[in-house]
Amino acid sequence: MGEPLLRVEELRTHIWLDEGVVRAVNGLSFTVDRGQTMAVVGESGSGKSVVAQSIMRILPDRARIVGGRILFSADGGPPLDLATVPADGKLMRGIRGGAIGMVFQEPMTSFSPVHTVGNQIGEMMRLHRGASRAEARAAAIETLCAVGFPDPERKVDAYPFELSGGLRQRAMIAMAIICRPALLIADEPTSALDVTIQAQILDLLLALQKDYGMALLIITHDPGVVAHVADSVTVMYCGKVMETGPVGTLFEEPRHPYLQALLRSTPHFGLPEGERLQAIAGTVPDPLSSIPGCPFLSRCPEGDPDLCGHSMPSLHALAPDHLVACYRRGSVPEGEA
Amino acid sequence: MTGEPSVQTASGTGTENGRAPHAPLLVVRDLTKYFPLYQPWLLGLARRQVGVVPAVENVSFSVQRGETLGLVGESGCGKTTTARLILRALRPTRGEILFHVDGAMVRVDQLEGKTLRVLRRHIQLIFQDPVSSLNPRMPVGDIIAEPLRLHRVGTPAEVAERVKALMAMVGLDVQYLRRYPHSFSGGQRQRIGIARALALSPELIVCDEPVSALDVSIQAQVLNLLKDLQAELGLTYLFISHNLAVIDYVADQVAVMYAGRIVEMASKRDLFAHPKHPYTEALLAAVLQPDPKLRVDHQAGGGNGQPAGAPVGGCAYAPRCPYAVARCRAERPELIEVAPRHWARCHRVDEITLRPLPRRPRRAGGTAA
Repeated sequence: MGEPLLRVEELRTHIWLDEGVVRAVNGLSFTVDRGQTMAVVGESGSGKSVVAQSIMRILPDRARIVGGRILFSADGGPPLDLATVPADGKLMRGIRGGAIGMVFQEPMTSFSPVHTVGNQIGEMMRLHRGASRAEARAAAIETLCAVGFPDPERKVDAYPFELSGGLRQRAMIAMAIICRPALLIADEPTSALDVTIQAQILDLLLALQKDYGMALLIITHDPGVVAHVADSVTVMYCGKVMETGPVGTLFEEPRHPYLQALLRSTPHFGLPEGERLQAIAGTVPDPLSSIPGCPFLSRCPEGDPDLCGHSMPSLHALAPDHLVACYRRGSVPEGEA
Repeated sequence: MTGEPSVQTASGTGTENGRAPHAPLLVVRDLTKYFPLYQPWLLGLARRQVGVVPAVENVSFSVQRGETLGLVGESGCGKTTTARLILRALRPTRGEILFHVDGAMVRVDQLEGKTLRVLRRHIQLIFQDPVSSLNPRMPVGDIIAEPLRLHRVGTPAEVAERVKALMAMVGLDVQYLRRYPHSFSGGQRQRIGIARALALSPELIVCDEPVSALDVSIQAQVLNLLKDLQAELGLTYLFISHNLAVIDYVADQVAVMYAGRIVEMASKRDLFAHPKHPYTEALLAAVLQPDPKLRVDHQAGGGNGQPAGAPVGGCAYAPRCPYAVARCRAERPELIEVAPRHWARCHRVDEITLRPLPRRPRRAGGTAA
């Protein structure tokens, strides 16, 4: 029991571009407990997708994990550090799609257009479980049924282009869960879908999580998605954790100025007539620049260059499960904690 | 397929209650667009038309000057086609588009050539994708100046002045005049698109999902800018979005489209508090509000995920509607005024009570407090 399912510690993933080095993930730590839903929320450029790619070890060629650990323990035994396993080795290939499933944003580009969905879903069983062709097909039909496919016996032979966006996303979820992974990573699983379908897919993920006892790591930019599915939330900004804690706490009493500003600026209902959304001034800093202090300083209403501009604030525990990285909330310079 | 009885009041002139100053800027009546449907013919060497796709059918609404009409619906429901018809990027199959210019009503649907070009000074568009809608090989100053040059407005010096004024108006640094779009962030690019749309001082701006491609923290900046510009310049918006929270923030009136038709139309307040069409209810139930206390189970309400089937004669929403009865599958409902200035297209509107948008009891302000 003791060992959590996934513990990311001080993860650093850098991307080498022609213009310089992007510190996409820059000292990130969080934990996903068994059967729980963790949401990593951040804007584009915050590095949230690189986190998922780092865990799955499917980083693009220009990117590399340069530090930290990704401790994964599927069965509660001694954890394996995924950051050090060869990305294309047998071990990692077994975990990828086996113990950890992944759902991507765009189902059309994630499926091969020239194979049936049943083939592609069943392939997981053949690769990971050594199933026969017939067993794989049976498993594919069963899983399509589990993800709410109408008429799975017939649709198993459909090609991806024959399916609607919502069904394609269901098929991708089927592919990700057919091997009963302990962890399912979903990177913006509903951003490409219509509103009504989006809600159904999220509810499907939650239902499957309960049935299969999976943990869910959802990566999203949408506070609405977070509020709907997460147990815990990690708020990222420029590759760093700004605040992490239980979803209720973070939405009721956000403590980091970034999260407070993000929630105030999110379009939501119930604004009194005439009241305005409070936009966050400025933009995300240039990812190529190296910022010594808090990355949110340039947009922060409470920021003070003397206090916040020199080194990154450490994660300060406001409660055992509620951490915030802000000098105004009790953080000390990183490394001095 | 005979035309439905037109919805007089929806597109009414508004003079019944003696509020002439609120004369509508844009009136759309029974707007319809059929796209031809082709199939390969003669071993694929040719194609022949085998039918039509009713992308937009009998859409009627009016937009008051200085107001915002929000158009919502899922992808493929015809909201963008409606916008393109009003801009006359497409020619309507039938129906009227009346636009108020300089004290006269112009039949936009009948304009051709030169007069159509003149109309484009009055109706402009803001696109969803700020990347593909800006020419990457043109400096920002030229992008914003292009409408002025195309319409031969002003001397070069006046154009340069106007471009600077526009950039300042949308919150762009005038120094960046010579920069190319790629050096701007998504929010800034959308500001460039807005400046370009404003260049000719249009009366009506069609905003097609203007913030959907932007980060959450940037959406508020752009929405506030659009609201400020509306107040300052008296602009009228036709605002297309799938995000009901965005519609709630910007719109005065809301029209909900489904399968090419308006299924419900009302003031924003009425629509969200007293929805009269089951599809509106499903949309409201599917909204993911940034508030963990408002989690709801969506499998219960919002339809079964089936794409909108081809309506055979009944209500297009019937295959997904939890309230559908035999009549709904047999007989097509019409858009009727079910409450003052509240229209819905549903047979069972008097028999069913629909759930409004879930809101927190008490504690006004919620997470935003």
